[in-house]
Amino acid sequence: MEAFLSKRVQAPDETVLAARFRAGDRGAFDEIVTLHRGAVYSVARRLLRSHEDADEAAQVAFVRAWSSRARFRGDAQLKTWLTRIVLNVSKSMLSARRVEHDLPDESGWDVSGGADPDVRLDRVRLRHELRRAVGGLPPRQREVVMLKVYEGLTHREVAEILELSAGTVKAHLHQAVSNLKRVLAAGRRMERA
Amino acid sequence: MMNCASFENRLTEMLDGQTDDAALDELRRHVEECPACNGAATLVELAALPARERDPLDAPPQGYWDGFNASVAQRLDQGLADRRPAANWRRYAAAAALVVVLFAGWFLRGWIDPGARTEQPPVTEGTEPTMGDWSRLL
Repeated sequence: MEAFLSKRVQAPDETVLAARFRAGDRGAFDEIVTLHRGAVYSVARRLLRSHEDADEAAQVAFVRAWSSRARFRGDAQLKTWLTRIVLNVSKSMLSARRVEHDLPDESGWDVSGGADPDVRLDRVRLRHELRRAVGGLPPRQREVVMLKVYEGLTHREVAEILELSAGTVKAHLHQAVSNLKRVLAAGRRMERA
Repeated sequence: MMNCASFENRLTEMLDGQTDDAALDELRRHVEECPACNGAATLVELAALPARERDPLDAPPQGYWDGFNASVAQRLDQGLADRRPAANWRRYAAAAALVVVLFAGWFLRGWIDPGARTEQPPVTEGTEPTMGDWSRLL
């Protein structure tokens, strides 16, 4: 569970850490990996589904971050910069392997939320339905939903990661909700028919 | 009763992290009463949860993080080692580019200095030009 806990750990002074990192300090880089590996892995896992792929993407992202450390601008947060890198790495992996990422699989699903088997089954069904609907969204809307709704990042963070304005992020989210509502309603109608 | 546009706006705000129990009840009522928005019940329940609980992922295998930093470091060292031959390739590419530039310079010198072109032999008076020479008489 450290993956999820480490995301909430704040560096004492990330500016100093980032400066050391930019100067090529491997110790600082190691600290950064420890601080942000949970968040980086989580984004990769959400996109790639399997642990093995997420592990690969997370490691490649950190290696890439080290190689391009000179390009890290202090005005962005390390977390958002690293998230942008892992998002790009994951997307490249998806297109290279032609993974059907819009079709949800059973891996990575936490279905332990209820003792009642019916409730658990219903929860699985709803998540399946929702993942399928999210998977069918246009790429930008899907990324916004993933980062905003599931990862809980702020508008500013999502905007930095996707290199959009905060207003555009909001517009994408609104459009995504509208599309999801329509798709889910159509699914319900088909179920009843 | 709230209209469908307000429902969508409020739902977006809730999914955006603006939690509000009263608004949530209102969204639930709207979903029950409005056939057009009925399909969004899943989204309303999703909005009721904190972001990290909306689509929780399985934790990675136990002990995974213990070796993560070392794996990255190893990959990094390997990557740096792999770059050395690439540096040699850059040298080869630079040499090849130089050869291309020199060849292009030699090829184009006739355009820059017409005198450097091969002199055509003059047409001798009284002799019949061959078919190949007609072009020089035009």
